[in-house]
Amino acid sequence: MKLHFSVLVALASAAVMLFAIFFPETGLQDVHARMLEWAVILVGIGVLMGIFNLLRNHWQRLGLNFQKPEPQPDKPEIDPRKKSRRPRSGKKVDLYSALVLGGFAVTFLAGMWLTPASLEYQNAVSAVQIPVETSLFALLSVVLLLVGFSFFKQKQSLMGIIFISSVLLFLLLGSGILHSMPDNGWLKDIISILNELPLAGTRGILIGIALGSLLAAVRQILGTSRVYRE
Amino acid sequence: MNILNAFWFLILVISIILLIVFGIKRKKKTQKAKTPRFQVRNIPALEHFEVQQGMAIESGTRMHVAAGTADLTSQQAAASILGIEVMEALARNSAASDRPLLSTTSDGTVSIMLQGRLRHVYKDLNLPDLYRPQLAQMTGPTPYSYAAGTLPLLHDEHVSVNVIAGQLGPEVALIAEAGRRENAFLMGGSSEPSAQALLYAMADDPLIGEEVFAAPEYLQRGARESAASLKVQDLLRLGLVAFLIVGSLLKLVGVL
Repeated sequence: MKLHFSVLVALASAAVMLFAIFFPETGLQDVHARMLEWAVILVGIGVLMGIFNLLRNHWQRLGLNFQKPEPQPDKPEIDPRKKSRRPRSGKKVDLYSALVLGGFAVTFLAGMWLTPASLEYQNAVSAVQIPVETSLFALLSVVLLLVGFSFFKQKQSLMGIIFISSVLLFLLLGSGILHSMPDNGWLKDIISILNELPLAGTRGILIGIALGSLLAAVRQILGTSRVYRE
Repeated sequence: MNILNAFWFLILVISIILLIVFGIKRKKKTQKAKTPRFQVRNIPALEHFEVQQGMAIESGTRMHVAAGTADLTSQQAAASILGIEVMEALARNSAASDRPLLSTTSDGTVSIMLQGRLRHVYKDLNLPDLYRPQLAQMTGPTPYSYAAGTLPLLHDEHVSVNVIAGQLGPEVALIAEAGRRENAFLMGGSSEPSAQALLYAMADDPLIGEEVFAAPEYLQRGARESAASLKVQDLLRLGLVAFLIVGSLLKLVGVL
């Protein structure tokens, strides 16, 4: 592995940050705090650039292209699976993008005029955002119901049966019906044992994820994988 | 240093040492004989995925990578790093195809990093003219707006393979369902247990637990350091399992 300047910077920064976290008595806390401030500023700029990226994409969907368009394939499309259920809109003008750009312009100008601290401004934004996100949440609940049915229909393997049985069992446990039954020592014991099962499973998955995250971070620090380098 | 910090510090040091040791060992082996390859464990979902990837490239349809909603200053940053790595590995395979890979995220910084790595891939493959920034998009700044922004892309961009690799919550069901309506193959895993449960039910090939973190290494087999990191991940997992079992037994007999 060639030792690049970016790797050295990453290694040095990571060393300082890790020492400050694990050995607070070394006096690196100030450096740690200062580096975090820099990171927050950079992330703020990153968010701005991301928003510009988002606006540019919607601008292009209106058919107003800054750059050369993506070449369309000459050969006819052969879908490896079944054909799509809906006809594709292709590269037609997307009027929803006009709505997004218009909404952004209004929100941005109102934010500049009233400032984000203004209560009226916050209420106006929330009045749009909360119903939209709630609608998506409602849609999600319908999707989840459909998923449950289609899963039961499609995956009738042993794992599928275990999955469905556990969903039904924990729905029953979560409903509280069993708690309203007369006090029964052995039933309570069984319920408490069953309640520990998802906790154990979640912990197992989380331990795996924690190890995966740790290794992903160590690979970045050592420079064996560099998502930060162009 | 408190005991929890000390424990994680120990794990960190062990993983760094093992990564270096496995990396060097692999290098020596490769120098001696060209044939032996560092064997990575089989993950059926990723095995099947190779076929789907080939079909998408051959049929002129597109792959989509959802890099998730975690920002780089949060504790879930590793999930976004994972999304970038998966995107890079798949972009290498599909860069020259008629419809190259599309990646989406809800974080501005991650979108810039996705674009940077994508540009690097195209440069590396001597195809700089084919790079387009719109191949890595931020589709919305919040989890639900991200999902809402991604849904039309799956339809309009001819996506036939949908890969979820990053931090996503229950909103993953919306993206997965939109892909399913396009008859797209879905493979994925998330660092969020609720999303993992949904993906288990919805994905053609779900990735469970740390399997999702093995995806970038698996998709670029032969990379020395990557294979080493897979080995280290497995070893650490086994070590932790042993640690938990011994700890439970000691607690049971009253030593702890």
